[in-house]
Amino acid sequence: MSNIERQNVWKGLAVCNFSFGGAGAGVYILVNSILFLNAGELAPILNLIKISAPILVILGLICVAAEAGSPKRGANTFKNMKSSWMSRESTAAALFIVLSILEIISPIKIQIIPIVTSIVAIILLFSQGSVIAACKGIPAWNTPLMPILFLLSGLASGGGIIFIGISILSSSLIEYPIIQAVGIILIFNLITWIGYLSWPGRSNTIRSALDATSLRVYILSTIGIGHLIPIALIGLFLVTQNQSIFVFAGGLILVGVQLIRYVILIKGGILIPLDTLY
Amino acid sequence: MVVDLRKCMGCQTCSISCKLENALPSDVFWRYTLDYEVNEYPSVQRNFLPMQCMHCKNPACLEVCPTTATKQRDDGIVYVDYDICMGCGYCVVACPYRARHIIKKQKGYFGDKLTPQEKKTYINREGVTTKCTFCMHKVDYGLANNQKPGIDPDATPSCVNACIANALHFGDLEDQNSSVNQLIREHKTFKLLDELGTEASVYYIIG
Repeated sequence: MSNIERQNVWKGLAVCNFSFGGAGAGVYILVNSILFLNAGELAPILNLIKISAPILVILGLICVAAEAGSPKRGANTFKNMKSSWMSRESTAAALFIVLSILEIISPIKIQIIPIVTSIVAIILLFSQGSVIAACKGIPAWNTPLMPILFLLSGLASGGGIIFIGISILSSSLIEYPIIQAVGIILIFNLITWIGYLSWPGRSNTIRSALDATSLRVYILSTIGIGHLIPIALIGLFLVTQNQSIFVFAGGLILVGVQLIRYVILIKGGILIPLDTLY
Repeated sequence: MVVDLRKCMGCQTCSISCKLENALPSDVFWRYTLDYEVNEYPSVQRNFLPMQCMHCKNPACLEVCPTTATKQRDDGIVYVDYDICMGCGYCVVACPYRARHIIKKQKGYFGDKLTPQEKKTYINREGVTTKCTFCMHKVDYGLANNQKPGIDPDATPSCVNACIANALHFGDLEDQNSSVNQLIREHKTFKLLDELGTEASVYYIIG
């Protein structure tokens, strides 16, 4: 078997960029969806949580700038909208920051802004996955499932932040529609993640590259910590009505989702083995 | 470019010639020759595979570059505009041939400080992505002086000139009468990772 070589260009800061950006866009979309469906007395708290969205996306951009070789030329990143997903992602991120801050500081509530910003946030999440999927040099990234995975995992991160935010900032019980929404996203994210890991195409590389023990540890961590335990904690809440459970559930969702991104970007960043080409 | 794998003996003269011609830092190789073994005893085989930018017709790097720093000339040469590149590394991870390198800090051959000789040839490429240019400065010089790339040494990439085994050949793939097209017609060739749709412009002769 060939020696496994991994990309060493996008490291921890890249993972942070995708994680912060994804969580920011995800929390914004989820909060707006809940507000749209009527959040009742939790609406002020949710609006407060929404402020974290542009902050997280800005943090993501800071991370990516810190990793770039010439960050002073960052403005050039918007130049290739025609074919580069990174240009599209950067544009969506910049637009998202402007619109979401405008929404926060504007004294007049313009109904259309949250709708437009939510669409931009969806584009941002989709672009994140597409940035990865467009890398032909890394088989485990170059799969059509990647944009869906990044979209769902971003929403799941948003769910984690909402759980933590409401538990800490509000004495009112989290309402069932919120729990159901996050629960459904978690289940879909879990299905997509398992689907990705068992996908017969190029993502196979990720399975063949990790030794059996590491693979078990990562799969158990991402599936268990990020999905199954939070779902079990939600079930426990339904029995006990103890809201503090959501702090743990939210925290575990965040850890699990970030671990998924780490596994994809760092562990899955396996280059095509050159000694198999000829 | 055409690489005759039957002739390549893995001497790395092309790699060193490239480093000299392009004043590359110590840890950056725009081209290198893979030296590896396949099969097991008693049928072990030692293979050499010269690697470089494939100057693809449909380059993955060009498509993903957010800054438009990666450009493709009419003659097919793919290069990086160092004044535009922001060193995001997207092209490095997108290229399936590992042909691109970010120079975070330009190091000397004898430590972090550059020697007086290195300072003379120093080209500021810190913080940007670099790659093989098919020695386009030589190609352009040659064309401007009525010379033919691949035939006249002054108009030919330094790796081709330096190859001691005559394994490297350079020329115009659009010209049906060029020496490279003749070689492709007369021999069994393949291109690396053709299934990815990159349409590499480097052909390897295997028979």
